[in-house]
Amino acid sequence: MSDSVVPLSRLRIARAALEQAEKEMHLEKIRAFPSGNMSEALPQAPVLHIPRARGRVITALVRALPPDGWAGIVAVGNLGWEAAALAGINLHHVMYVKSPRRWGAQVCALLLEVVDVLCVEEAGLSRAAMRQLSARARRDGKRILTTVVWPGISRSWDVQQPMHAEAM
Amino acid sequence: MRYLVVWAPDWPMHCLDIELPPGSAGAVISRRTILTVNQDARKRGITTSMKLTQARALCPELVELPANPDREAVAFEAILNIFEDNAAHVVCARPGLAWAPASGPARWFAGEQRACEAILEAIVEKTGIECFTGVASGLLAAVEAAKIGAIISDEDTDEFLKTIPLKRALWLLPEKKRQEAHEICHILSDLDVHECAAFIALGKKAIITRFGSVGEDLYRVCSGENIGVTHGERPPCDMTVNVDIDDNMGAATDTFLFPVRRGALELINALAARGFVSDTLTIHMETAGGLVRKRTWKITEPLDAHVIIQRVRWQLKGWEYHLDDPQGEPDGICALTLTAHEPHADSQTTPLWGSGDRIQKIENNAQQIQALLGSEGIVIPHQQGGMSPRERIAFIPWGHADNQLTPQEGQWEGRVAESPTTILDEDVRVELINDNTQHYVHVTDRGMLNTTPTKVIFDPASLGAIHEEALYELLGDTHVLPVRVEQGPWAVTGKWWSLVDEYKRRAYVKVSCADSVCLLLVQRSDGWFIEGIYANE
Repeated sequence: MSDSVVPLSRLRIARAALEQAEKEMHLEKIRAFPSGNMSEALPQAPVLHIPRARGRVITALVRALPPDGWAGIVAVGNLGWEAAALAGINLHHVMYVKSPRRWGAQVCALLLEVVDVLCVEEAGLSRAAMRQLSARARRDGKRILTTVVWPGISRSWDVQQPMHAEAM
Repeated sequence: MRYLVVWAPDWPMHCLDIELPPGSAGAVISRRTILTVNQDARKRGITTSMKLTQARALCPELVELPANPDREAVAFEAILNIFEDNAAHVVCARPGLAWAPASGPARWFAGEQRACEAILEAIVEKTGIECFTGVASGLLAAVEAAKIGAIISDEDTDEFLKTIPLKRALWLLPEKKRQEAHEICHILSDLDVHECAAFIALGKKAIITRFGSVGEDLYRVCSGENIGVTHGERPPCDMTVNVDIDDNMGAATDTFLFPVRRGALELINALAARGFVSDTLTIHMETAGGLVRKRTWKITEPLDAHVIIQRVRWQLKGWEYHLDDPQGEPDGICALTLTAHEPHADSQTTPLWGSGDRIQKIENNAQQIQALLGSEGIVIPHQQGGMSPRERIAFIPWGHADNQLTPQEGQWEGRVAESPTTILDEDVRVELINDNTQHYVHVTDRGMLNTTPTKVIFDPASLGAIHEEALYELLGDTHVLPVRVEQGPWAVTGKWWSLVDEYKRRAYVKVSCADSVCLLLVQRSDGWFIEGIYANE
């Protein structure tokens, strides 16, 4: 038997030990949210229209963000931030603008330059601004998640929401 | 160049004494721990790092002040004004430490010794604070000389530097090089190299070969040089930005800082566009009455818009407090310029796997958003300790320190553990009733429900604030939902004395409306509200 092949029994023992430790730490619920980068499951479009339900917004962010990625959130209120953190979103890599007022387009553009995923709700964007942001996202390989339809631009993504998580 | 340094040891403590009534025991508190104490508090047995409860037990009349860098800077302005009256080109490194070229005061007072004495006497006479002065060639030697109250001649500088521990030179390096410099000191200590002289004796070539640009900067600082402009290069011109001050700006300092923020960004971007950095900033202000005020700052942290705005705010408050000059107020200022002195190429190399540029870009863009929306316009959510999911998140404005967060350590017994995916930003009032007995449900003083809730009644006008389709599907055309208690109640005593309703006594209950939707309800003094929604689909 080569050194690179781990006997199956040892793997089973190791996994059982890990599961027991997770159970003791109440971590098993956390794994209900998808972990890691699942961007290969995303529709191939720079702008994705997602449901407004906050659980689905969180799931979409988790799936769209690359490891150590940055997220810009604009005008998405009523978000369960702790649930988002427990789902795997690094809050230190989140830039949140609650109300861009009349500078929605500028704020979205500035954020899109530096983040990997921009999530936006009602930001007062004109059709021209939507087209420009979409073009930039496509050019730079970024993602825009929007909870309102961008006519002719956004592609619908029906994100399924997993179970909620418990704070440790 | 020879520098004359004025040093006020343990400045936060002196700053405390300026603000407190004579004879009062005072302390600066952060996170229920003592940061700084004054002499009267020390006499009562209070020390730094002591817990607040212990300090209060030792001294019930202790005056507690929150940590406030603004206050320390404003208080130091008095000493800077006196220093400026006796020396030109005063540079302030931080509250408690400032320097100026020694040649001017030495000529005026006929000697460096007499210049030091005159400045110290003036400071003591006008503020009552004991400071130290020192003169030497090079900043490092001058600051170390001030700590022992000495004047070091040029001939004795090398000998003096031999006695200075290497770690004492690190503060003169730019902040982004300090971490690496610490590691260099750690390596050298294993080789029994502890002092500046022993470090210099290794040889410049060997140091640069082994430690690169950080080692070179450290060598130059230990040799008594001032890092910044590389020798042999023609230094680029200082960069100046004029800030447009609107006559109708108003007197509020925060409003006044809006154009300052734009000017600061313009200066930072101008430096970055040419690949320069600077560690010396001059802020020049003119009032409508013709009064001109100027202050030069030595910046050891990365020069960004936040640092510039902070220094402008300190100056405004300091002049307003110490000069008692109505024209020192923001609405009296008609012109302001920001100047970055001695810009030089940034020698820090980007790591091969580099994220340094991206972080800088993020910082720049965030500051541009703040220029549009204000400092609170862009925030970072932070987790902290708390009894409810809403309390456990704090929004810190970009660029602000997160040292006011509630610690997460501890059991937080009785907290609401589960985190809903929806936390309502604004309260949505509901009624909770038992429709069998037609009684309203409430949580008693014993933390129990007076009756079993069976229905929750929504206010139709406030439903629009909730973005949960699952809830709307359940409601349909009505605004009443049957519910049953899932968990709770959790009674939280909170800050019962607080005037803010959110912090007072309250109780939480989790009720389920259907298999897919649960509500986290909170009872406050004026009724029930929805705090969060759990939606499983």
